[in-house]
Amino acid sequence: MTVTEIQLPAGFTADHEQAVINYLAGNLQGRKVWQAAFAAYDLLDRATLVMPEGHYSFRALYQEIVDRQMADNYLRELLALDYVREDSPALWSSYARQIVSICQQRGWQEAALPGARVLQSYLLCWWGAFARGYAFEVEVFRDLRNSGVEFQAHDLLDRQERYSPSDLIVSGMTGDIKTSVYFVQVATPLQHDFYIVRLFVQGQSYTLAVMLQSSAWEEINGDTILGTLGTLVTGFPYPVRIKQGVHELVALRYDEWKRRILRLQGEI
Amino acid sequence: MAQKRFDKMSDAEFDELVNGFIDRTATSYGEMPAEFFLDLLVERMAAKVDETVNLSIDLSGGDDLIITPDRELDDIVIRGNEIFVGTRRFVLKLAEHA
Repeated sequence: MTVTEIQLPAGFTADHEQAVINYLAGNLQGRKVWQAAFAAYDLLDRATLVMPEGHYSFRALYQEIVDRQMADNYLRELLALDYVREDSPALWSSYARQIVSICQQRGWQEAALPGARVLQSYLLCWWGAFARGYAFEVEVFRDLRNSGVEFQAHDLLDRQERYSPSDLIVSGMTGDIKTSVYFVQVATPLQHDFYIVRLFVQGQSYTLAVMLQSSAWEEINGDTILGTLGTLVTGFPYPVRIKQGVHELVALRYDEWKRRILRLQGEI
Repeated sequence: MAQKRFDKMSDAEFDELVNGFIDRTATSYGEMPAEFFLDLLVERMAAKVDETVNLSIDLSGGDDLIITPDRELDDIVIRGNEIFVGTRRFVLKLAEHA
């Protein structure tokens, strides 16, 4: 595969490149740094690899080289794991190393191809978001099943279903399961009834919260207090009503949401 | 702290950066802090909504729909009644009523 050049979007500056490097290096302290990283990766969707046979956007390359070739195998191996939380990191890392190998095999090296390191960073970033996102999803599905929550989940091994609008349906409510990073990265409109999300909280490795649309909350019902996600994750045990811009959501801890769903479903 | 730009890194330095990223993702969840997660999410959703494209649908050709965007798009192809977004092809048709 002969590559003639990589064309980065005109608006992609040295600051954007620094944001990509910060992301890889794990230097993600503060809102501005996260914001810059997302902006940089957004721009890179439009970067292109130029080959004699045509131009390929980074997004199209990700679909072709990573998603089409690795996603199904990764998901099959993921679903075969007994302990997803413990063992999935090694699995997604092994695939990440394959991406690095593919880039090397194709001669996408910086010296020969300026921009190649940006491309590799792009592929790794999106792979990380995909792989970790689905590991989290499988972890939640298994936990819900073990807890006795009745739900319908989409089939991850069926490509059509994988791209279905929602990940699961619980008591008629549509929901999505997302890591916080992927959630913000794609930033699609909040069209589902609820979202199960994993967040970082100081002093803990992570915490799980559920955010519901007000209409969905009415199905579950109960009092709320006005607050922020911070109110919830710092230990507040009750549901919190959050107003953020034009959005009004009710957030509660994952375990508390499960308890209320089980009660709604007549299990307790 | 600013780090070396990609083209100033040696192969070994770049490999170290990439390996560090892979190793770290294997040992931590790398989630966003709760205190600004929702704020940033809503900000980005609003920014994406700013990219609204209006589509005009011409029905004068009977069952043949013609879709016309209000501006040129570099990442979406619109042709007749078809819209190509990434690897997906959306086909607009008039609903059939019994």
